[in-house]
Amino acid sequence: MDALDQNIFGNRLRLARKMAGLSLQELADAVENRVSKQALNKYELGAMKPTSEVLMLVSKCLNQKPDYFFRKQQIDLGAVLFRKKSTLSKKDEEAVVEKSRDYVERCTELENILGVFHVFKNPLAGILIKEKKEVEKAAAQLRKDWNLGESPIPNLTEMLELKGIKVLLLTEVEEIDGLSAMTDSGVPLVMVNVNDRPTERIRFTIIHELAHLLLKFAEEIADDVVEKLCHYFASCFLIPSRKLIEMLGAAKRSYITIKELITIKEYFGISLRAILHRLLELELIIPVYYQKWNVYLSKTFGGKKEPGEYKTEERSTFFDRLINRALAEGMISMSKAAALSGLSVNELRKGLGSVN
Amino acid sequence: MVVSIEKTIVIKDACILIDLVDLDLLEAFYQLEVTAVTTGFVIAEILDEEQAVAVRKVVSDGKLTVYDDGDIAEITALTDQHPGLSFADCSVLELAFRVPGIILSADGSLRNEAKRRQLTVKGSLWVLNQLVEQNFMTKAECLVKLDLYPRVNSRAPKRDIQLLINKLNVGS
Repeated sequence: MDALDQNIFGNRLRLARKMAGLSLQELADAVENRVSKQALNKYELGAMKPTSEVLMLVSKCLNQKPDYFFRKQQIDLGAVLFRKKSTLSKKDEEAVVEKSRDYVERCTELENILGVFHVFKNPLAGILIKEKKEVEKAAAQLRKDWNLGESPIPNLTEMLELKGIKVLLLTEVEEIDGLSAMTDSGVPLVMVNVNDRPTERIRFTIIHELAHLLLKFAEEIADDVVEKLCHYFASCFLIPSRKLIEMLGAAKRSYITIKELITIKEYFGISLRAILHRLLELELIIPVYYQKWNVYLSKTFGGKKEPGEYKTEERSTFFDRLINRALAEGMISMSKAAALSGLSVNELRKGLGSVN
Repeated sequence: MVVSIEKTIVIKDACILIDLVDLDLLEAFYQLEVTAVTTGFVIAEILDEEQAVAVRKVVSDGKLTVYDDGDIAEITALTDQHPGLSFADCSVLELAFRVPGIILSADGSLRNEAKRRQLTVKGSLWVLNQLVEQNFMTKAECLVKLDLYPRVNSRAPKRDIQLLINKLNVGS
């Protein structure tokens, strides 16, 4: 049975349309009604088979290579957990989910071509989180199991990719911070919005989403508490307590200068507010002092801004490496590399740009 | 030896079209007695505006014929058999079987698969050699193009370029 008989084209057309955030009518308008809404619907349902001309037309309008419409391996993301604003529209949500799914599919296709198979093993699988103190233990356990020591992790994205987790850094939809999912084939995915966000916030979201992927919470724990515990995991993982105490030079502090906090921020890549919250959780500062700092930061720098900057950028290298390896070993053509990466043949040919 | 390519149909992929544009050889190429064809899927891969303009011109001048009638079922069957090739690559293979003709490609993977399927495949260096042998280009001009080639295409076949340079220098 070929791809047309299985209605792969129809299903993929619908997914590409969702990824572009278009209704059937909007797609018909985009192709200037050279294919009607009714005809598009028939293609999606598999009642009509596309000609080369129709395929080229929808590929162009949906900004996809023709290859996308016949990709057979369809991955199910399973339950997708979001960190989003309530204003996120259904259409944008579907677009982000589809982009995330498409990324995993492209990674998997490349891995299959290269014969690279990575079975992800969750080091925290045996732990059931019933209370907060177990979260800190789990964060320490993860650092130990992944041989990360207690030092700062410069590029979390690359580290997770090396552990077999797919990380997609997106820039498009403002109302979503991140999502996590485990595909039906056991591939873990973390998607993080990097649009106009400081690196420290991006890093925090990456580990927050990682917590959703790796931690299993007791059933009685409410969703909002789970969110807070994932936040806590991110803090614990990003700054191990022993390191923090070492940097502050004492187990308790009555006063801390902003310079000290900025030094910690720029060393560990975590925001001042998250550091202060961690200090409070570890009882290194008292609640009143914590509140004073929050008031000071808000009054001086505004609700979200703060001084100091973590210099190392979060960057994904996984896909780039796979594409370059497949090209170098002659396992894919330049055109196939373009189809998988979203770059043009010319950009790849000239060795320009980074692939994502 | 001059290879007779009179009335030969050549099917071009995106890489060779881009090579010919970047080497400023697209117009010169059509001095060769060939019937050049390609597919709409290949044309859709040329996204750089300058390159696209040059290709559109040879299409509108009737020098390059674009086939938009590829058999999708046949192309998808080829992509299933060769996961390392793209839909556009396989549209070139499908057209090469259908026309039939010589594939002109600058991509190693497509060239290898075409050869495996007993299709005749030629590349950018073959075009340059033909232009010299048929006196449409001097050896000196060709040497300039060969010097330029690795600079416009990071994946140009450097060893084969050197072999052609040596051949041209010996013959001069």
